[in-house]
Amino acid sequence: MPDTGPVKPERHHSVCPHDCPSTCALAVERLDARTIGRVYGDPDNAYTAGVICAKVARYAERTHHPDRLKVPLRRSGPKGSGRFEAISWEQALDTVAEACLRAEQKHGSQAVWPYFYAGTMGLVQRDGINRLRHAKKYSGFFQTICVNLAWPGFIAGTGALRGSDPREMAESDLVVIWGTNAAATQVNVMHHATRARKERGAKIVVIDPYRNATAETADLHLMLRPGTDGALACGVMHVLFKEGFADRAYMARYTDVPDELERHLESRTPAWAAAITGLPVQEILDFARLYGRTKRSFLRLGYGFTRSRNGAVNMHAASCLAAVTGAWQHRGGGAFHNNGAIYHWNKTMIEGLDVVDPSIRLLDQSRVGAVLTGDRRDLGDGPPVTAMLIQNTNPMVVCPDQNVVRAGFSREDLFTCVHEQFLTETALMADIVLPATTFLEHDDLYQGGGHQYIQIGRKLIEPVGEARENHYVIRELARRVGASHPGFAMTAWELIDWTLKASGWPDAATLAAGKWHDCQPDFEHTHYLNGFKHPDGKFRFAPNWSRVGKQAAGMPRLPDHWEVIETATDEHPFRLVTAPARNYLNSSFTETPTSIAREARPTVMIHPEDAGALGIVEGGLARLGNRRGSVLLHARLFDGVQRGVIVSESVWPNRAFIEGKGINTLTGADSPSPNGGAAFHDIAVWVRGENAPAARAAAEQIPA
Amino acid sequence: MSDTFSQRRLTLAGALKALNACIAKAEAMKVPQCIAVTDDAGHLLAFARMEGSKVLSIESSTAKARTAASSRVQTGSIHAEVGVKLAIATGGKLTNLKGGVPIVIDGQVVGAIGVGSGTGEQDREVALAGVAAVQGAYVG
Repeated sequence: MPDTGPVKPERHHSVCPHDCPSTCALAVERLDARTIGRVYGDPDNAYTAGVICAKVARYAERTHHPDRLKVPLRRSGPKGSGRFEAISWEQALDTVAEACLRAEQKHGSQAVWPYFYAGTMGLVQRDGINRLRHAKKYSGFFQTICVNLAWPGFIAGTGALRGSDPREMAESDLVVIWGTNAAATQVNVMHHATRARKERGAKIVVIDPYRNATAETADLHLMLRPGTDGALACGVMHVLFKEGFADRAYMARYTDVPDELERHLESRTPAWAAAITGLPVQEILDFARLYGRTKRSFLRLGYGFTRSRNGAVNMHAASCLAAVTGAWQHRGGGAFHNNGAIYHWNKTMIEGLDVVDPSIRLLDQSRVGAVLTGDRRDLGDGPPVTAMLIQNTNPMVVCPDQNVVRAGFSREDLFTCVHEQFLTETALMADIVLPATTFLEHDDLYQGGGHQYIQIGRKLIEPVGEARENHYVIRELARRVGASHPGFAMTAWELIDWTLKASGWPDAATLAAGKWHDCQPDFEHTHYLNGFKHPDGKFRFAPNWSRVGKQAAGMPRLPDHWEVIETATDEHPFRLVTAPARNYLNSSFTETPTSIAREARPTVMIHPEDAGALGIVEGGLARLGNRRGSVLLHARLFDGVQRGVIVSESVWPNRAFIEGKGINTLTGADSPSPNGGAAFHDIAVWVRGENAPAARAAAEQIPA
Repeated sequence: MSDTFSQRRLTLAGALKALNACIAKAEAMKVPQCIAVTDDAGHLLAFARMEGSKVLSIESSTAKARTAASSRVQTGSIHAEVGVKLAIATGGKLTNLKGGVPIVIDGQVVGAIGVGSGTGEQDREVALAGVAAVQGAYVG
């Protein structure tokens, strides 16, 4: 026997930075100063509970990927050609700063548009770009792409973005997972929900347009047409009122217009809801009665079902269920979407909030194509955008209306700097590409939207190649373009410490030593038993939509099916959902070999009867199109959708598609009510078989 | 305008399903009941008088079912004064006592259930259990 066994790698605390509500507490194996091993969920964290998704567990594949960007690059061929030459950091930063100064001299400061998003959710590395923007009066960034349909919809009723403790799901007797494929995108939800099933015999209901991995686990799956969740909610509430499940005493005390709601729902019968949702009446009844008779019913309301032009209305309608039955009164009952409102940050130093000039215009993230192609609805009377600094986001893949986005980024008079971990398709359009660290290579501070912890993730390994953190780039550019703010003089760690102290949380050293801080408010508060967050303390069945957005005109007064979605027509008979793929997260992880192998190739899932009618066969080619463009991809026959509904799990890089055009070619960039956003699952399209001669002949009869 | 229309109507099999569900619910609640199930026109299809229920509830439960079938809404919502007058005007066929519920399928009343012998709320609860037993049916 040898005297010693193999040395077990050290494990260090970290935090998953990716764009997901779970913000998992991690235990990361460090093999040496430059290398990580396997990544585990921290079993001591009550929300993570030792469970993380497979794609993060194999994060070494991403951190140590041979394609990581390792040195700064300067474009040496036409835009998008992929021809670059290596340059030094000094040269690169000087070039970017000069371009920004030149743009400013020619058109004013608003010609520069810093552009970023949630490729990392760390508060310092993600949001520090705002400090530069505010100090320099660059064009503002109106963040719309993810939450702007969901959050206003939830807040419309409750008055605040918070709800029952998500860990309480394990104490529920009925978990309703509404419009989120948690098994694929937020595995922790499934952990707590299945605990409730195992320990209490709880039922799990899934509401989703397709039979995804989450729906496979459900006791009841309501497979509705996309964008009809408001109709389902109304049909369910109709039954709750009619069959004695409405808690009238609760509503009298805690809600605004219960009598008006009851009268309004009189005509929203289960048959009405069935006609709109495509669900059998009996399923609506089964769900309504199960929900009505179960006191501890937990609504886990996701983002997916809000990515529709009526998404805010649908979110509000779904949230109304708990106010009708009074489920909020019970432990394991109520509703949860996001915990944003439980945190009280002072982000002055990170974002430069003390130097904000409110007269500077805001440009809509989701309308980047329109902005860059000079749409006056976006630019107003202001100058064109001629310089961009982009961090942690990949608009050339993820933004709506890709043909317009591509035209915008192709502009010869637009200078683009992209600070990234990989040569994404946005980086391919850049003039200067800077290599970025991953979360394991820098310090940052995180809050969990889907739980109640704040955490610090420390730098665990040396940066790969010459990669630098976002904060470094912002500081160095600030120096070069003459921006001044005390935040530029601080290190990332000092910013973390300042922010924590100014926000009334434990300081950085204490937080790092304790791994996390539990910010969970008490039961009465999270269940709104002290009143909802409106002046009269009452939940709003009839919300004041203009309070949660500037584009509230025409929104329905009460929960309803709001017919502003792209309905199927003769020209566009199908409704497309671009649901998230299990092994990708937006466009992150589309570079890792295991994720690519598991997802295989861009695919459209289509009902076998629809496929048959179009001459599309399993594995054959299908072209999807609308007035925005068309994409060509492979088909999979799948009966886990209603007829007329198709699903393409996303977001694959454009280059993975046969013709180099990705799924967001088909997505609209119109700005939905009440506050903008992106309707990724609200797309009407036509479908044609491309490799069946009969189908091709038939398709030629159809005008494009 | 067509001279006729077709009407969906509860079958005896459907009525017996509803009746049995009502009996099971009443047993679970330990409140013996008289239960009447009618078609959409208010004609009796099935009836049960559970041991311990009140004999005169034979009349009231049947009247409740008939009232619900005729008015297409649950009984008990008419203003008290008008309720009595309507009862007199219809020779006692209409009642405003709680416990009558219409059975609706696809927006059409196909039948009704009337329950009597408990409190108004108990009667209603038992009747609702009967509706839930009929495939695709909900309460008008």
